[in-house]
Amino acid sequence: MKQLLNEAEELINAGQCNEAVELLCRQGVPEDTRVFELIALAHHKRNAARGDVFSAAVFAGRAISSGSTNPLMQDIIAASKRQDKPSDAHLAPQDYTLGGWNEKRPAVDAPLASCALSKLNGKADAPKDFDWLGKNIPCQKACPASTDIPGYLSAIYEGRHADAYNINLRDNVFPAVLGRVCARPCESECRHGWDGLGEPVAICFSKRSAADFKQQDLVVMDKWFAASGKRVAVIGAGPAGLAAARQLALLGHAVTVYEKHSTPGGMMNQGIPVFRLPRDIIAKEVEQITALGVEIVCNTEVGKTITLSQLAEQNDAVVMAAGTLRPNLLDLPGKELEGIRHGLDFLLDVNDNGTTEIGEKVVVIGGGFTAMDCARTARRLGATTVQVEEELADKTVPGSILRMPKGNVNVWYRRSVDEMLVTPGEIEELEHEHIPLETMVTPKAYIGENGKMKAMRFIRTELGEPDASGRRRPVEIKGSEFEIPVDTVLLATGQFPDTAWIDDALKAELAEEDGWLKSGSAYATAKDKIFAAGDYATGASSLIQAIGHAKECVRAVDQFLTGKVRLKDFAKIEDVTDSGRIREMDAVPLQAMPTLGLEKRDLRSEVELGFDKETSIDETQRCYQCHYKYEIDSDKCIYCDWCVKAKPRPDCILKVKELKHDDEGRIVGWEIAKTADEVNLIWINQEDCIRCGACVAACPVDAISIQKVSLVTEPVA
Amino acid sequence: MKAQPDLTQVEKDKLEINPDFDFREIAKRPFEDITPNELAMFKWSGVYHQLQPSFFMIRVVTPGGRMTTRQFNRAVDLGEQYAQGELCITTRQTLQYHWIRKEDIYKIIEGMAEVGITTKNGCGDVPRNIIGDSLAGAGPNQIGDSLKLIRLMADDDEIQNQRNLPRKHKISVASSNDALAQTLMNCQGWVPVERDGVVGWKYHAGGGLGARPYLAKLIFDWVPEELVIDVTRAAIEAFRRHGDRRRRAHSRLKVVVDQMGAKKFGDVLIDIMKEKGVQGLEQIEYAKDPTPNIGRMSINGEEVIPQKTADRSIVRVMIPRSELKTAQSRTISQLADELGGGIIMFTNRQNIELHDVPNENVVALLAALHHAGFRTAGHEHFPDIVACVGTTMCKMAVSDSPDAYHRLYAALAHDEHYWKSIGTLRINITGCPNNCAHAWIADIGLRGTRTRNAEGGSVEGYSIFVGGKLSEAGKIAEYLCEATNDEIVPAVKKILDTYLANRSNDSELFVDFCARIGIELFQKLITSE
Repeated sequence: MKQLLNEAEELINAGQCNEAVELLCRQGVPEDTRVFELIALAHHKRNAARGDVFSAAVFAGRAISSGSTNPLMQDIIAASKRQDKPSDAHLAPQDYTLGGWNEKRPAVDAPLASCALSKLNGKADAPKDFDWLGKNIPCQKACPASTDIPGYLSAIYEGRHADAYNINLRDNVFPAVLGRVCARPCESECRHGWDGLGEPVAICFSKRSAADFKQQDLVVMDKWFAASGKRVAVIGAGPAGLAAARQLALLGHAVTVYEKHSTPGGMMNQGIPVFRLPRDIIAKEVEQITALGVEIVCNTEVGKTITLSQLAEQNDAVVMAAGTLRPNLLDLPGKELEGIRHGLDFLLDVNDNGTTEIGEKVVVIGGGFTAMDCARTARRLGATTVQVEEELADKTVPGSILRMPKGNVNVWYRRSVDEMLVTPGEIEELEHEHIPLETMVTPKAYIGENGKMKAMRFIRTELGEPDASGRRRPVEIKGSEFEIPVDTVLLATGQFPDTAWIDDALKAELAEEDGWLKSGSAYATAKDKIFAAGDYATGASSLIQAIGHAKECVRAVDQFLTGKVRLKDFAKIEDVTDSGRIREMDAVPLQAMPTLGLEKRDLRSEVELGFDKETSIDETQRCYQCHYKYEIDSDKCIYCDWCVKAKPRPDCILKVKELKHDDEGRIVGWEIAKTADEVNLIWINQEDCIRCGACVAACPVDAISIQKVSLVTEPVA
Repeated sequence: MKAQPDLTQVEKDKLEINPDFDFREIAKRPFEDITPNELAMFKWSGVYHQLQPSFFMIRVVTPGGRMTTRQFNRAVDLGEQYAQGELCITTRQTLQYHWIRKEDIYKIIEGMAEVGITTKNGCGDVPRNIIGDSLAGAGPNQIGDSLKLIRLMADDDEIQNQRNLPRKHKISVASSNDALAQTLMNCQGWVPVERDGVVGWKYHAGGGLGARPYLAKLIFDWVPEELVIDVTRAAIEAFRRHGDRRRRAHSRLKVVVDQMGAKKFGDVLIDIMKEKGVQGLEQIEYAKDPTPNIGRMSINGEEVIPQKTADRSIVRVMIPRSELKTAQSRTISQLADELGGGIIMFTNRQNIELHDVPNENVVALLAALHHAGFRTAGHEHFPDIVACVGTTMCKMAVSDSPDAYHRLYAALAHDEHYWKSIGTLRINITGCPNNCAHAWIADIGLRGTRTRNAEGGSVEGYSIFVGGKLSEAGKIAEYLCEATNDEIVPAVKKILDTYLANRSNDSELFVDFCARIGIELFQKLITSE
């Protein structure tokens, strides 16, 4: 017994009070004076809440009545007593300001710094409001065009595919196109994909379903402003140029787009293969832009047919959105050999002519979008007679019309798979189409025979420190060189903006000697009237990034043209009573995109078949609907902790001693309370909240509100 | 496929875990081998894991609140041995043990079973201890025999073996048309009526307090006594079928009845009884008006109440904060045997009544009680405060309600002149929105809360509600003001002084005063200097 008492005392001294009490109780019903004393001491020491104060006093009392003379026991009892205020109480009813899920909030300034947004309702535009949007709707934040992803996913879930399309159209200009070929930066940020929460929502595929299942009429958007009388020329009818043109048209400006190619679409048309993006899809969404009055002049190469200076003269502004058409060719020994092509040139050729010459052993060098497209296109070329035997030998793909023999198209990349910048799922498709991918190799030389490519020499690499792009730099491994037989090399090694076409009068002012713009990724250039948008300014990126950049560029153009800021962003706050979600939706598995069987794959047949309507609804129900804000009215909260007990994640509801704010009022951190009296707020950490609503169901005093918060852009007078 | 609502974890546990645990086996099992789900299902046996780790609470079932002294003595013995020498009287007329070790749970259960008292259905999603009023079996105004019905219900397999209801289910059977039986805050409430010498029962349903209170509606004006059990069973079946199992906060019968309305709920009961082949349903009369009309409480501070039987009396003993220490309990039990009728009745204000006391013993009994330090005066007046255990032992609580009780009691219960001048007054202090101490239906109800301090931290206190009652159509108390824990005494004093200064005459009860002036004026009065 004595040993046990000592052990218990040691545990108490070590702060393991629960363990000490358990040990003391294990021996029998507490009835010994010293046991009473120690239980009292354990609870007294823990002192986390009133329950500890009480139990310490109970057992101190038991200790005293069984003969304890330990003065601490009296102290414990004395400390448990509370005192009344001697003065007259100042009584007042609680004055609620925010209210719970079923109350309407007025559109007034938020009364407390702890409020998530600067206003209780309506439209808010303080830094903390945009900060909230960015942190809480990570998909929208990740989208360069700021598309309202929860908004359109919920519309799809409700079967309102046309509404979903329109919501998307507002921000991303080409919903049906991007529903197929978007780089999907949103999906890697999706809350559903966070550690322990499963797979991200298939945002992109869902977006496509909105386009697939809406009425197939053209959607002509309402313009924000009447005709301004200003004329703007846009150079390049690619994603950036067309996005800029549409935004300018919505602002009331007259727009003419100059395109050197025979059809508008830019990289959509000339880069991306038809089997990933059918051309009628592009045509239709381009038509929605011309329907706004935008004129697209094709077969017109600025610099030849008309000069930039002339355009600048004839228009109130010019937007250069000429993309990246200057190929990055590898400066390797043997670069003059026949059989070496830049990937973009190859894709353009196939997209324009339906086919192109290609050898029998093809190597694609690179690890980006173009590399994937080159490889998969190359695999579809070649002689049919060759492929039959090859493919039949492989039982898994009988009769495939992937014509290039299996294994005869390879992709070689100098870094690892993790560093590849490709559309999610494409590496899997590469494998599916039996295209070997060799990573951690870098090309060293083209080896020829009779002026033609015969082999390619590579050296193996390992990853070193990150480079400027943040990706780890490949470092060559000495002595690891090797050669493989090759007759065709497709270089998917990047491309740059081309400033060669800028006429001399402006070239010095606008372009660097190395061919890049002096203004970098800025919207404005050194010349007042002339702006730059999309890849032409930023360098090669993705479609959605080009669109996002172009939209922002147009704001600068509009301000230049009108001398005013005519578009304003807000956080729109709306009361709701329910998110419409049930927790079981979180457990719905990611829906797979159905694809065309290998035996049917060719240059023109679309590989991804799209969700059926039911699948689109199944998938979109998975969205957490991060635009809902769950917030506790700290005046109404009674600190019962019931929401804390019901919370699904460790950090989604916190007992906070103090919130930290920056100078702009943004919540930038918090300090957790250690005792009940320290708790100043029971606070929903909305960044960690998974919008399950368990707290609302648990709150006995209806102190938790639900509001929908959306980023909106509106014209202002 | 669109996601379908699945069973909640509680509902799964109810289906998967047999609540009839072998607590001898549990005694041997290491605590860490008991799953949290099993621990939750202990409640079905009346066993709750207490706020303090290593200890349990056990609640027994005493239908109608009555125990013989033999039963009570056993309860006291077990309390002395295993529960740190203390028992607690609950607001549903029964007893609770605290500080029970896991190893001793079965000893309490088996020990009480030997004297015919079970812990089964003490807690959990089951029909709980069936209550009545403390005058049952003795009171001067009794109609029929409520104790007989309570006993029938307590012994009815169909009622008692409902181990998987959507939520807890509470039944009250009154011994007369008297608010004392708390008819309007129970899921089912039976009130006797007599017509031409025949006793039948008025049937109420859909009452319940908790965080969102509902008062019962009158469903049937007349149910013949032989159909009372059938209707009770049918209501449980209706609850089983229609209760919301998805949202526990909205799962009780009160929500079902509120959504259906009295008439439709009556139809559902009749249909269920028809399904079961119950005969004689045509004798049941639907309520002409669903608004109840419960009689005002017949007792008002009496220390002794003459029983219906001419030579016997009820002697009432106040138990401070419902806590019975072993020595006090033995005194009461001994006096009940020596001078009373050997019957102990627990009241819903957490006190004790000794029934069947021969009239000639009353004076001696009172003297002995006073000698032993018991108070017999002040029932239904200021000293008769009800408080739950609050943060002292309950995991749900926000405020230390026993502390508020003790401070109020110490400050004002001894000023007899003051509280007598106030008259009838029921103060109920509940530590959290669950309202175990029934703050919603008290004259003054205090509900635990914490309030944010602008300067940092937060402070424990109470939201104060006034004007609740269970008589006539009933009334849920209305929100008056906030008070921090150190303001409780001055706050209640100010409320009472305001009442004293503004009541229309000395006989205007506090509850009537609240109704007359309205809450807004009351708020103005107490906030003015």
